[in-house]
Amino acid sequence: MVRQFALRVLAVPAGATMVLCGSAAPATGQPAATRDASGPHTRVELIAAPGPAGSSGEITLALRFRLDPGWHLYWRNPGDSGGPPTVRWRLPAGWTAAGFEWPVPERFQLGPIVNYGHTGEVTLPVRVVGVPAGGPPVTITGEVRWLVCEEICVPGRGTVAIGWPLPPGDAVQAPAWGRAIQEARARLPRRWPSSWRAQARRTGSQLELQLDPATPLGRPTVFPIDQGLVKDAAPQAVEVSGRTSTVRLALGDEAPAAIARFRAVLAFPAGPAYEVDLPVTSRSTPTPKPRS
Amino acid sequence: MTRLHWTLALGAALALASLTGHAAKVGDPAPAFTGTDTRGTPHSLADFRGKWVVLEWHNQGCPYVKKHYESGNMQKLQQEWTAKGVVWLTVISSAPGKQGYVTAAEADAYVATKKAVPTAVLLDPQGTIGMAYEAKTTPHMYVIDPNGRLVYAGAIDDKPTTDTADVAVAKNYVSAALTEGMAGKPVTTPVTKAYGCSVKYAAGS
Repeated sequence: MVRQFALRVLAVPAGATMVLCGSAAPATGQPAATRDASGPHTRVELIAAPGPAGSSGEITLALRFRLDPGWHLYWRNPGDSGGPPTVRWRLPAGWTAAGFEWPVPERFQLGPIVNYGHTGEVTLPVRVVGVPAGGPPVTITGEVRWLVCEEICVPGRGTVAIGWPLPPGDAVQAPAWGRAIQEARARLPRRWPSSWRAQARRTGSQLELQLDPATPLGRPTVFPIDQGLVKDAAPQAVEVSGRTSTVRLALGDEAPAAIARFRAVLAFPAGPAYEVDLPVTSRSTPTPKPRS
Repeated sequence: MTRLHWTLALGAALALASLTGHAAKVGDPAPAFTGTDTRGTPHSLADFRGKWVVLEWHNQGCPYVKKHYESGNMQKLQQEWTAKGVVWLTVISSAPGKQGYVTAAEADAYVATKKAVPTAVLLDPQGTIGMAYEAKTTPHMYVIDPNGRLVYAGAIDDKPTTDTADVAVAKNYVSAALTEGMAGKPVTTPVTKAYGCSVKYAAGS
């Protein structure tokens, strides 16, 4: 892949930064941030998909984390402990960054604690809108904070920056970055097709999911998106019958009395993962096909 | 192993609940325990009947714990509430060889250095008290009323980060529970998702 570029450091056009980022620019005298930052057991790099913003005004950035073997970073819902990485962007006026696009996590069990997270190389794409086509060069800066854990946990923080449009030194690597971002997006959970049935029902202290995809997908693993709704360490009871699977999840002790919706990523043994956002019913009577 | 341990810990409660039942349920009597402090003095929960009790799960190497000790937040809470008669027990459930495991002398040295003022530090290297409460993180906080009933379980506050700057803007759930409880009011937020490092129990526990 593109590992050979990991250590390459870009000199950002500091002069342009000061002028064009206005109040968001670093204070005079501060060294310009580079594209990479490192912390214990972690390196993080800011990359961008190549190409002009075009008429859509949209570009894609990504934070690419590389973790030492045995260490993990957390998913959007970290589970029983830990916390997800965060970034605070400094962008030119009118630009807006969306949140991370999260890959499918892994489930880690450590004694009675279950976590959801990522190992190895983790690419988190971020959509940025409001980028003018053919605008003057600017610097995009991100203050990144993260926590990595093996058995013990260590926090990290760093500032990463990249020029836009990509300066010539970066443009060379841009096709590889573009491919890396594309590959990361290809692995993202897909939206559960609206023609496939899926229901979520609350029965006492359990949440029951009924999934009926058009083709058999096998035994799902459920990754709840909202923290604390289900008991992460409890076993997921799955029954598969033909195309249909039923998953029973134990509700968390801190789950609210009323749960309106259940959002989750469903990973299957083969093929893509899917994301569902289901209304939660509390009756056992059949419900109309939900919006998903 | 995990399942077996839970099963044992859950005991009779398992008869009613599914295998996802909870040992330390808010609103119910708090699980009884006896622990030994750093001076070798045993403490039982029953000894504190008539008093408010706070349990604080601790691991001095955990960045989330450091956030609350380096900012002075935990010491301030200990100071404030013990001055009002609350029994504050800091519990260390790290197993030998794991992060946060300390000898009695090391625990006392930490308390002295940090100017912490818990009522006692309980050493729980077997994780017995931790398992009874299903303590998952450091910190994981519990508030027990004078009748021995658990009235709060969960996070120390509503800012699940390692950033000391967040302490100033956080809503502290322990203070809120004690304030309401001591005023004879029900606790508005009795259960939250605890945040922090995992408790470093012995492997396989």
